[in-house]
Amino acid sequence: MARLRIEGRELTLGWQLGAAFGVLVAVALARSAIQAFDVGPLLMVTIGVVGPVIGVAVGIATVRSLRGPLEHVRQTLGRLASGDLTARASVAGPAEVRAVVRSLNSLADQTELLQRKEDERRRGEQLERDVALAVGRHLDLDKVMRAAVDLLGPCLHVDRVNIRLLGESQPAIAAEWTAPGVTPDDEALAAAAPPSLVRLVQDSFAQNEMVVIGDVETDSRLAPEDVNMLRTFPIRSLVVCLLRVGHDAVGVLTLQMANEPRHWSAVELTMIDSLAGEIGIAIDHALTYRREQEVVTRLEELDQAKTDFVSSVSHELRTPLTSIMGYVEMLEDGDAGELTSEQHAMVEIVERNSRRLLTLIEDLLTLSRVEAGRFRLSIGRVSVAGVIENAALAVRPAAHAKSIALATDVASDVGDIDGDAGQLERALLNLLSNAVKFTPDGGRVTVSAQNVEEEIEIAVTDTGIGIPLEEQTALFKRFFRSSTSQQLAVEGTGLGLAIVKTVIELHGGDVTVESTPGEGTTVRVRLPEHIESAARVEEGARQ
Amino acid sequence: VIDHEAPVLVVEDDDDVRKLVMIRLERLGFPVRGAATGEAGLESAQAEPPQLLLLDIYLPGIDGWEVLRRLRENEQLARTPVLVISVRDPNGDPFEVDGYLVKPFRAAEIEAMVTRIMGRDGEGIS
Repeated sequence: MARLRIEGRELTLGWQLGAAFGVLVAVALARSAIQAFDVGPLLMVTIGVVGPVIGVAVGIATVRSLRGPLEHVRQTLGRLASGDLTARASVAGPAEVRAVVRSLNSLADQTELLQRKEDERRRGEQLERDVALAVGRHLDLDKVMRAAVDLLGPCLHVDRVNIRLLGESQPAIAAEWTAPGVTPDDEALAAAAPPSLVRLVQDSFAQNEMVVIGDVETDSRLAPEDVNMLRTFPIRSLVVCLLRVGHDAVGVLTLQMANEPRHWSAVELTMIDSLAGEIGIAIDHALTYRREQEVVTRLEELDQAKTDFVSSVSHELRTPLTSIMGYVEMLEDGDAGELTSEQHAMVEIVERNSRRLLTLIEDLLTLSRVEAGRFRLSIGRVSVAGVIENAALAVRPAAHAKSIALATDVASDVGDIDGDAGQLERALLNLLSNAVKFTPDGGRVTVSAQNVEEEIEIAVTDTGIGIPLEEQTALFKRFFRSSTSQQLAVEGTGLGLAIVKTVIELHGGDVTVESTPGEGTTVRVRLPEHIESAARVEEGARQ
Repeated sequence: VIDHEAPVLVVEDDDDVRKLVMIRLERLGFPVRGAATGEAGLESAQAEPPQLLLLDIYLPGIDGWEVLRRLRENEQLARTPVLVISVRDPNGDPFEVDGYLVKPFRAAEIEAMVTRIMGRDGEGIS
């Protein structure tokens, strides 16, 4: 209604203008006629009547010729303003109006182009973000490439997208996406390697450029026989782009149209270039990750091989030891006749050193079993006092030889605990022999046990040479030997404490060391009275 | 019924260890036979069924477990008591045996094991 009213007013205005114009023309004509011809009043009257009529007629004609085209322009402007950038006015009406319409259309053309570019740019940025997000989400190489082609294909409206990895061998297609109904690219193209296309790709890559072929049928850079070959795949249009990380190329990205030529706009190509950068980085990360995984696997295999080796060598050593110890035993038993005391002393040395060798083999085997996750405790109720007693008994001869006073002090409330008696005894014996080994002649070694906060604490204290503070943390590592033990040429392998720690920890306990160089060392072992479950022991064994 | 006249068979590829074990068993008063391979051991067992088999596991050719498998398939030999001479602790072994002699072992261990197996079987009969 408002519109009609406005039109009505315009119309009225048109009439009024036309009439006013007519009157003015009539008056002017009358005046000039009077002046020029001195016409009579009749003529004056005639003119007075005809003038306004002409004026009105002219007014009507003017309004009619302007009204249609201007209205059309007005409507077109309205559509453009409301966002329909495809709206154009048709060129019609008076020359001036036509000029206006042409300017308007040209302006609309430019606006639409700008808008399209802006949209494309924004789409490109969004796609770039999506691709970066999608490929960055994975560390697995195949997933990275899968994500990239799956996203690029539909977004870039191509028929095929594929990625080939460069490197080891012939770059086979590592990932591909094809539009529905499009036959996948196959290795046939790579195998056929159309020479002019290969040359084009090589030249472009050498100059750090991508290959853009809008239409293979019209591209003069391609040889006719190669075009024939491309036609059979079919490939009509393609973009080939290096996936680069810095100066290193990791792969090649190919975008193809199967049957239709395509104009690849500058904006699109810039976008493809950026996307190739994102994908290149993601592939590089995945490749790095894969290489690291391979290194880890290799190291694990080496570690396993080492464990197996130690285990098999230890086993192999046991057979000759069986003979050495067995025949020595026969000699000692007098099976080959009575030995002189000198011979007996010598045989005893052989026997003792065989035992040492055996202990070393046992330790190596134990550690290899621990590492292979095959070390198991056989848990039962163990008398702490009994374990201490046995260990002290075993080390007493060595202590006696060095005039070391060996004392045991087990509190009366220390009873039985859950544990593997053999392994606990072995651990304690290890600690005691260390104490004796590192205590000078005439010193003192004490082993005590007491209840501390519902745990049993066993402490082995000596008045030995002590351990430098900076070496105390490394003490329980395999093959660690303190500087003092090396200076004093105390024999040992550095395996003992590593085994002690393993055994105690498998029992759910821990071992700590306090030592003052020159004064002595105390090793404290804490053991829970109950091992919560067998599962925990199993778990510990597998670590 | 344990045939105390039947030999104790020692299957062990290491000559020195085999000889050592055989000497120890002879000292205990057993007639003893030795074999250096699983195949030779099986032949010996078939020719002269032993009252006890001491069997090493790591053998050239067929290993100790294969010897044991074939022994158990043989009706005549299936119930022969077996003492495994091994370099390792029994752990997940495929056959149940009468005992393990873990290398290196002392004379007293051989004696105790053999006496235990023979004695137990003796009780079983009576």
